[in-house]
Amino acid sequence: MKKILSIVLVAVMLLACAIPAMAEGTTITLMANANDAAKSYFTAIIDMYEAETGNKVDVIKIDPDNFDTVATAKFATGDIPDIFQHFNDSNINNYNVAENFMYLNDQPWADDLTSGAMAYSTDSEGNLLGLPFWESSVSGMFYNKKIFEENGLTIPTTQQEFNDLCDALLAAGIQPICFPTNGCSWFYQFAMDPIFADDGGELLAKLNSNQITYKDIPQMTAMCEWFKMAADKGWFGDLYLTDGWSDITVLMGTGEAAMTLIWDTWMYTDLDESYGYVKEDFGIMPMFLGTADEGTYEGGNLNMLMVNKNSENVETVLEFLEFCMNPDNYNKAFEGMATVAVFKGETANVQSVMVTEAIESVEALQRVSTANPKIIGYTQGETGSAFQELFMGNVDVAGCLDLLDSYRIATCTAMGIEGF
Amino acid sequence: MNKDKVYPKYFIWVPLIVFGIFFVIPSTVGYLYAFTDYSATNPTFAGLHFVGLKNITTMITDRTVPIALGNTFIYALAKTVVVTVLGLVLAYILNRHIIGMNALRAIYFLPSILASLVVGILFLSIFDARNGLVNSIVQALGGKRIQWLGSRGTAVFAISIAEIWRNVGYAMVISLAGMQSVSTDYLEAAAIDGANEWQTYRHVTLPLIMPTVNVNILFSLIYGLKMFDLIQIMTKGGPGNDTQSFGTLMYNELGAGRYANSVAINMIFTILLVLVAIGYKKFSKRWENIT
Repeated sequence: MKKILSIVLVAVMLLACAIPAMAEGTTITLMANANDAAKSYFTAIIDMYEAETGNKVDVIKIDPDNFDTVATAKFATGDIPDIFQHFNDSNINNYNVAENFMYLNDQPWADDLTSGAMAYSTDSEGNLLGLPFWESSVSGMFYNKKIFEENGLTIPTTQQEFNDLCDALLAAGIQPICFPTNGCSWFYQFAMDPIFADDGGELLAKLNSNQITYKDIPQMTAMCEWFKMAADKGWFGDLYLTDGWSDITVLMGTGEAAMTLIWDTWMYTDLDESYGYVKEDFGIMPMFLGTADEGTYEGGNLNMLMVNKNSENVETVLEFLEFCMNPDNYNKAFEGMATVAVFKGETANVQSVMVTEAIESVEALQRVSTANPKIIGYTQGETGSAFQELFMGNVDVAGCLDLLDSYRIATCTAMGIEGF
Repeated sequence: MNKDKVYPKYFIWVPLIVFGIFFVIPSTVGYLYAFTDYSATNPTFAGLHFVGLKNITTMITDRTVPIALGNTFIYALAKTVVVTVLGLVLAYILNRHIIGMNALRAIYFLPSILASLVVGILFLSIFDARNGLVNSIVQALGGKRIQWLGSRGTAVFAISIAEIWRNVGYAMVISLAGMQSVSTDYLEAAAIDGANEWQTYRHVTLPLIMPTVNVNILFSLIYGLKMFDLIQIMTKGGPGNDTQSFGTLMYNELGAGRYANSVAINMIFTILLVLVAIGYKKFSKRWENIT
């Protein structure tokens, strides 16, 4: 009797194990920065896909502060997911794109990408590296309209006017710019875009082949001098060396600072309106950072879903991307999101109030994100570290440029880039 | 178990082989990567090329290495001195019959069981420039907010405080165990000879617990030199490179995909650790003999 009971129990257990296995669809793995994976449109599209197909998307979330360190180590040891999410920035070279990822130009949905999204998501040879299933924001100098109004300040049109504006705000006892340098290092690429985006690529080509260094570019010196002057004058406040990402919402929400360098989507997703000021209180104007007298905006940086071409689940992954690119599905996912359209059929998104109000200026002065994706060896973290050294007085402007060059050249050398 | 039984020597071979295969060989062979062009873009063994001492000279001439070297020694020495002394003091106090002795022992030991992440976040909030506890006190006293983690001196100080707080309980427990093993015969003999409390402690207790104190010093020194976690959590080696240690430097090179450079720093650091360990071994032997 005991034997029979044992056999029955074992059979029931095996059956219990087998039933879910038979019922389950395919599981595909997706590795992403934990913050990026938490975006509402991203979780929405995955939920919709899982509900409709029965397949599962196993999202491997990596700590944002250590994302590239952990992810590159995983790649180096062969632990590569079916889908990898990454911006098309210079760090992407560390993932051996040609060896690991599938080019997606011939996918049926490729024609549905806007020209801007297509340009951002391709490499220098025109290969489409991934599906940019992401928001496209406009980065600029966001200012508190009420503070400007109360102090009789107007939007500047030149670098000098902007400098005068900062002096006036400081004299009024208001921190002119919220500039957190602890872990936030995107400001410098905004300043560098005009240098490298405006000359048709000649400077970039020379820099990326080691024919010139940052030190040889006068605008780079001007940029460093401007940042140093701004820090020394107190335009960034007195705690900018330790302020971080979470302080932006506090400083802007309470009105302690009048301006910050950020993107319009941030106003909808991250501004904590309980501090006082709400998104309608803010406007956008060009960024004057010592490199473009008329100011500049930066266009969207898109996070791409890249397909592991050596994966066993390539077919399922491509089906997933097709699902994402179904207009009904992406319009549901992006409904009400303040973003410039990334897909031609994207209609459920909205244009942010700030960009709508300043659309003429944005259209006239917006530049494609250039420094971060196009300068080989550029990393936000190391760039930010070099500028902190400058702000603290550990190095002068020439020393800061030397540091920036040394980080960039070390990476290019490690990558085996020709000329280094 | 028969304590007098002499076990055959071949018993040692099994753990030695396991230790060799899974620790000694991989960690030693790993250093060979320092002499190659190993990187995130060139991660396979087949693609590696021998580059000689290039990576080592690159890292030795890097301006960050002297900063990391200086900081590493500051972290290690501050930790070793303060943790050892405080551990001894606390152990001495808690070795006496005072009210709440057991509770105090548990409380002082508590930080040692906390994860680095918890300790790091705790001290981040204590030293936070905007809303931190320390600056709240400074402001309440009429002072100006200080960026504790915004310059080398104060940031290294804050990180060292966090590391000391985390480890002092552990040192206390080890010292306490040493003190409790001292036979009361010695202490009674000293009392009969007319020694006061300090003389008894200095000339009887301390020499007898010196091997225990040496364990504390060695642990503090080695773990202090290897400091990484609290720095990474509290400052990530910044601002700039002002709080870098060898550990964070290795991690930064790894993060930038410059794997061979990371191994090169690790190799330099290991040589340094071995030198310190050998030096300390000689020093501690002499110290035990003097006392």
